[in-house]
Amino acid sequence: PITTPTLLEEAYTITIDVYCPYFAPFLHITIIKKVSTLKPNFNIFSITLTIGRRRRGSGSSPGACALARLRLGEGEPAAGGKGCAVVLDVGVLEVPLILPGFYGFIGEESVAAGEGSILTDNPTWIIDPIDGTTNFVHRFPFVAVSIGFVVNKKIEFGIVYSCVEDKMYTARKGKGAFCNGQKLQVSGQEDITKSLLVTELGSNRDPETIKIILSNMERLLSIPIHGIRAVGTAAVNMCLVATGGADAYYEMGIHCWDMAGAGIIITEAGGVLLDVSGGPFDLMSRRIIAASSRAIGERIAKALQIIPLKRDDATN
Amino acid sequence: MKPCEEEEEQGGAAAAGGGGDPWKECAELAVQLALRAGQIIRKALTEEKQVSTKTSAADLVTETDHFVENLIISVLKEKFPSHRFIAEESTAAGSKCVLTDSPTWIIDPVDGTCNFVHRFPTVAVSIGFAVNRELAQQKQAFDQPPPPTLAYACHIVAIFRSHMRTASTPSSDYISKALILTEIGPKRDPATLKLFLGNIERLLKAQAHGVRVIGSSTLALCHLAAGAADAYYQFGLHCWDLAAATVIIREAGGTVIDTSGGPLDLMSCRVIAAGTREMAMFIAQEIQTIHYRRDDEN
Repeated sequence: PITTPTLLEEAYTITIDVYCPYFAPFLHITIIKKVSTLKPNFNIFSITLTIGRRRRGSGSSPGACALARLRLGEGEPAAGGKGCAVVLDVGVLEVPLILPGFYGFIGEESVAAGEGSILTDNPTWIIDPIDGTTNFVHRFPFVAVSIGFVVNKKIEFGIVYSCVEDKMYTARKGKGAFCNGQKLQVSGQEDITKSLLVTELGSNRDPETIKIILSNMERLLSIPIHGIRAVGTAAVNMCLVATGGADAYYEMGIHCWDMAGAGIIITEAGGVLLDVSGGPFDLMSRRIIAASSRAIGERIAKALQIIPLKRDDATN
Repeated sequence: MKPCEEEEEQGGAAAAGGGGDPWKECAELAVQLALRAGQIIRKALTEEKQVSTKTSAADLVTETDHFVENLIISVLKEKFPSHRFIAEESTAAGSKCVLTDSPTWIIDPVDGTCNFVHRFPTVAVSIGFAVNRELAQQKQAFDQPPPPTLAYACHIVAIFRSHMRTASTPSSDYISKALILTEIGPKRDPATLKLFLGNIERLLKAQAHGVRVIGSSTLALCHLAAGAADAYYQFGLHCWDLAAATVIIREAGGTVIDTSGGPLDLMSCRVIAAGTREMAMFIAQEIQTIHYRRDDEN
């Protein structure tokens, strides 16, 4: 299905020129009318995302959605960073974007429609066009675009754009993590009693789930720790850990599109990703600990009672 | 009470209900000081800090808190020698926290010290001003956190009177669909934690859209004034966290009351603020009290 930008209101546009491993390294980002060239070097290709709300009466259900224009190219960008030579323009499509053959998309709106999201080894875009929708509705200023790119089930690069703050967080496997050009480093804190943790209460209002969430917070606050923060978006919470501003993030109940972008930003900033049980991180498990050190991550895992959740790749 | 000297001849006009603002010079100086303090905090954010604790392991203070407070007080004292001061670190050092009729500056040099220590980007300077025990009706008080020029720097919530959005456009008068802000407070004993989490449980059961904790009560209150949230409640904050933000919220059309539902008591260490009176009263009905010593107790 092809849709046009006139269907969107309150829209903003991000153009990200991204290069594949096969192309010359460069990262160029255009945000609406502003152009910023970020280091370090990436290998990716060009995608333009226009993100906003569907207009009422457009024929589709209201809500956030993203339109993606994908340009695949090769070679170096033109001087002035106008992007690579276009080889294939797949036009404007609504997320999720399924390309015949080899590229898959997993996006929030498709799962809301009831389809499962199976992660294969194929290169896959995992996108949350608006992380922090509750904040977005209330104008609470923490709202982010989250884009993760996964190959062989491993995250290759991630982008989180906290748009009200105008902070562009990026990371490429092996090349470090950055915010608006500044290199990021986690705090490295190993002592839980000096830690500031970030988490969320979540959207589940089932009384049993709420009880577990609050008892987990009680256990952690009693250790004691310095404090808990909740800004309302998983992606921004994780980026705050990557900057060193908080020491760990944990949550149960989020989805792969909330974690895919920020996950690699944390690891490239020196942090670790764990499952809430203390075992290895699983992108489709609906749960995560993202910590500045393994010691803090494991101590948090000890305190957590696990909430049973349906995996993102569970078939109905 | 004498208005600032420069405005003395305008005093008559103000008393007659004319347009003059007798505290305008004070307000303008307060903004300058807040900006200057913000610069100091922004710089100190990137440096190593010496951290001590006050009433609990979660109640932190650094030399920046002391430095900023001394700076603000010394400049104001020199300009307005008859004015009084209630400020966080002086109080911790033993000054009495008594509000008299005299023009009184109520100052939190670094609100969100725990955030400051961690470089979590939500830190504010709060300067409030009270006369005759009332927070001045004209907007006197400014929160000015450092602007986001650094990669891990702070959140701008710069509220100036001309740009304030009225808080009378909340998303709801009811808790369901409300976005609520709060803070944990310094006490971390088991009984307090149970009450704190129990209050959140009640609000979630009432179908609130969400609860947010950003680590600075003054900035959270400013988000409320800007219309970005529907309500704020807390036990365990202080008069210097409330003084500035209360005026900002009221000038934006919001309500600030005591957690019992009665009128705000600046020294009581507790508050509910909301876009509408109805919302504030709903919150008052839901939450259970966590006891803290008053700011004006010995």
